Amino acid sequence: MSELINSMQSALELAGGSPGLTALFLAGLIALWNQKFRGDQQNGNLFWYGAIALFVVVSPFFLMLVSEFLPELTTDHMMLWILPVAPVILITGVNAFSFQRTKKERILFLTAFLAIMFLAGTTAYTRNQYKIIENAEYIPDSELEMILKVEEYRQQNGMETVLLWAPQDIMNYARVYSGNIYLLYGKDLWLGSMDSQMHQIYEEWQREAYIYMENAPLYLEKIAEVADTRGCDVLIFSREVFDMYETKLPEYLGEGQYVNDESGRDYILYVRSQNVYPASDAARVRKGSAYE
Amino acid sequence: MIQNGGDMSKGRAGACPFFVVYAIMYAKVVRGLKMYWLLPVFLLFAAYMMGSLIKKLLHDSEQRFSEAVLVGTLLMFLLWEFLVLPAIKIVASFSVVSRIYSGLLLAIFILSFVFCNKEIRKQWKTASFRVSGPALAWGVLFLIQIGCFLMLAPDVSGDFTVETVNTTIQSDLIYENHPGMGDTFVYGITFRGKLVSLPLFYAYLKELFCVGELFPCHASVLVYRMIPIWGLLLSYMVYGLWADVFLGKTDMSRNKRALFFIGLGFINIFGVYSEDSIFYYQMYRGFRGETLVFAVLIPYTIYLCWQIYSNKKYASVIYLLMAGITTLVLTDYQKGFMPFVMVFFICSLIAAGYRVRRWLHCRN
Repeated sequence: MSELINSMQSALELAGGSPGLTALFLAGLIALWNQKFRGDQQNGNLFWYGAIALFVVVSPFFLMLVSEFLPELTTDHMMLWILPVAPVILITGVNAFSFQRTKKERILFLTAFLAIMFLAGTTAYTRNQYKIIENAEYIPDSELEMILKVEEYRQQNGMETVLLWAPQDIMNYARVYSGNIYLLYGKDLWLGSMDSQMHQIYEEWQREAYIYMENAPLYLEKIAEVADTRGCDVLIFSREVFDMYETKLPEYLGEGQYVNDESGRDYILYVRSQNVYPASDAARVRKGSAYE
Repeated sequence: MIQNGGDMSKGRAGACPFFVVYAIMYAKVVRGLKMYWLLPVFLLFAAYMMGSLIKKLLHDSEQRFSEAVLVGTLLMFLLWEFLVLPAIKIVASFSVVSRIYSGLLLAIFILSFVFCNKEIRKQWKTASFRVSGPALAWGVLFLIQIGCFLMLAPDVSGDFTVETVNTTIQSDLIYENHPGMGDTFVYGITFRGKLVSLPLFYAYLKELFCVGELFPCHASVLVYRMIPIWGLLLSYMVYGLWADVFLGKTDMSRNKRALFFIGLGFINIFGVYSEDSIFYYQMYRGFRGETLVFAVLIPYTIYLCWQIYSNKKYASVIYLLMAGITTLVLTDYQKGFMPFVMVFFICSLIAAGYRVRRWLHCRN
């Protein structure tokens, strides 16, 4: 019983998106109810829709049905978004504003309304809501620097696609920049399944590959071996991780398959050594061995 | 002769600065123009032409720009889905689907020009573009919201949209390759997942607006910048219809409507503190299908139900059906179609309640 009441309470709190906006929404509903009795049919319709929708979304039966049969709708409490929060608050606000007679009253009302709206949200500036983008590609600068080098390498060598293996910070953005950069594994490997309808089951070697790359200083030989087997064209390592382990990167990796090419501010790039594998052979190697 | 020569040289001298100015402008406009900025304009224009044609076919005499745009947008998505689903079945290439869709759009534009010319001209002749103080304030707020799309990092957690766009364009296949890796899927996407063709529509727009070396742009610019602007405009159009219903369409209520839009702008900006709200999605995940569903389609559904039940405008039944099917195109049915059904059910319940009350009243 207490669980039920808790779920109804949290649904009511989040009905407007935040407790403050919910309070404004409820106040708006009451104002619309009052206008309904003054014969205003349109506002009466909005009141009934808002009231019935509110009753439905906080009812335990609805919450149980949604969590049982429509689990995707519980993401970020989307089942509450059928409430007409913005129209109820704003129509009530505009109607109340029109009751103000003098200019002074109108200015005071507007100021008070805006202040209430401002405070109705929380004041917690969390995560990346107010993060300014660093460039037009919406990729952090240090990662973009390396992705551009990978693209340059691909174009210089006349390759249609390039297989990249890098730390997750780079892998996160590589395919946001270009569809010509293939990856050994997608970001859903470390973030978990992001789409219930997309079934990508990663193999054991891919999971191991992720662990190797994220702890690169301890697994350099393994990385060179796996990269060679799977036909990777480009490897990227994080300077920070190697500095932390006080390990210096060699000029060649493995048995010379990969050579230190260019480095960025935060990352170091390795490409296939032309002496061992010319770039034109890379695609042939990748076709034969990747994803086996 | 000397005089003529002098005159001629004066003419040439006079023309030179003009030519230089013209050349500079041409260079700036053509070479500097970022085609993708035209995307929201193109989408609205295309939707308007398609919507006008549909309204003409359904003998819907109510001429309103925002309604035509909304109906046209629904038709755009439905046509796209109509082409994509068989293409998925026969494993057709993406470029073939794009070309057929472009051809269809062009055909509809031409038909709309031919058959709806009179209505469109009449509508624009009678339109009023007078800008009042509150309308100007709303314009400023709207620009602030656009500024947020241009400058603030979107919330891309759990999102593969841009990767899907890039993968589709690079592979020229539809949902055959894993967007996160690039290579072919090992296990694939279910049919329910393939129903959602919104990322493919973005890929089509990218191909249309980002033409190689001439007008380069990245998919992330299109998806994270232009699409949220377009979604915001559609959202304002829907709420404009609401404002017409609740605040009136007269000149007297113009300021009230402007205040309503100003409030909407503030609520979008201040409501983002909560990650569990549609306002957050509108500002930080405007490219997602759920945002288009809850910010545009659901309010539009409520408006259509009001048109059907209160105004007895039965052409809106067709628009309602179109809206319902479009929810399947934009996002998973649990997050799109089911809320649409819930909203329709609640509106029908209210209409039924009014009828019962009227019947009881008449009986008494």
